[in-house]
Amino acid sequence: MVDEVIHQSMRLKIMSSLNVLPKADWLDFSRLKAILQTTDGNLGAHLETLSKAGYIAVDKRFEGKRPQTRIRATPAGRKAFADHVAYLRAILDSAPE
Amino acid sequence: MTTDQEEATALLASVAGTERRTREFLVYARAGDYMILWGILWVVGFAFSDRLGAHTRTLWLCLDAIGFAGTAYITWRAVSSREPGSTARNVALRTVVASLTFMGFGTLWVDLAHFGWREQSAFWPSFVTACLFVLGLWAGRAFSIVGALLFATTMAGYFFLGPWLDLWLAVTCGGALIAGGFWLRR
Repeated sequence: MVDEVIHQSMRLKIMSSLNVLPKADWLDFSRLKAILQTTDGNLGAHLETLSKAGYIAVDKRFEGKRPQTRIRATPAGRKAFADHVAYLRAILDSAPE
Repeated sequence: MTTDQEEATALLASVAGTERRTREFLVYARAGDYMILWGILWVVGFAFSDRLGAHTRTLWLCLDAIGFAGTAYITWRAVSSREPGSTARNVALRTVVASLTFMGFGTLWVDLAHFGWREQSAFWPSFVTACLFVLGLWAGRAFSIVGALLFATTMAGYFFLGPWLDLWLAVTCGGALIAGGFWLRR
């Protein structure tokens, strides 16, 4: 069964990136944007979708006077990502020789 | 909605590419702290090397001690945020032992081969930047680029700048390590 939230290409990339981090670690918005080579608006929209699905946690805070947004995958997000990668691999495994 | 094999292949390739880039960014971010620390120490060391005469060796011993302590602290801080304290201490200790091994190897051959001061000045940056180049073959090409550039500037200083070698190394190697460190952490 396809998870429509995570199946979209940019959201899958976001989850791939966050899944690499240790469970307690956060990734800065700006760093995630650089890794994915996308724009603020595009990344922000997809993060909102993932956040509503409960797949990521978003933390907005101030570091000194500068606002900082940090993101990390939730346990539900990590499971959804692992399930979706398994689903994609199963499609390839089912390919006729 | 169904997914065909072509799409699945493309998505899995995209996942693998994103994971690789993320790991590179994480390594760069951590390496940036080490580069800034050692860059500052190299600026100080090379800037004062030709003014302190017999005390130069003492200056470098103090700077190296600060560098090893700082390296251990940066490693411990990075690892302890996600691993138990004992693991962080072990990783920090291994980092210091690895650094001391490299330094011991270099010192041994500098003394055995009776390097002059200019050779010593050029040896350490060229040794470290060659290691940086090799590291880049696995950990990310930015290390190789920085390593190759600094190796070239070190050799250029050795062959063409005569008495200005130490100041040249302070600016190019120390300064570039600091700049490179901030660039990697961006």
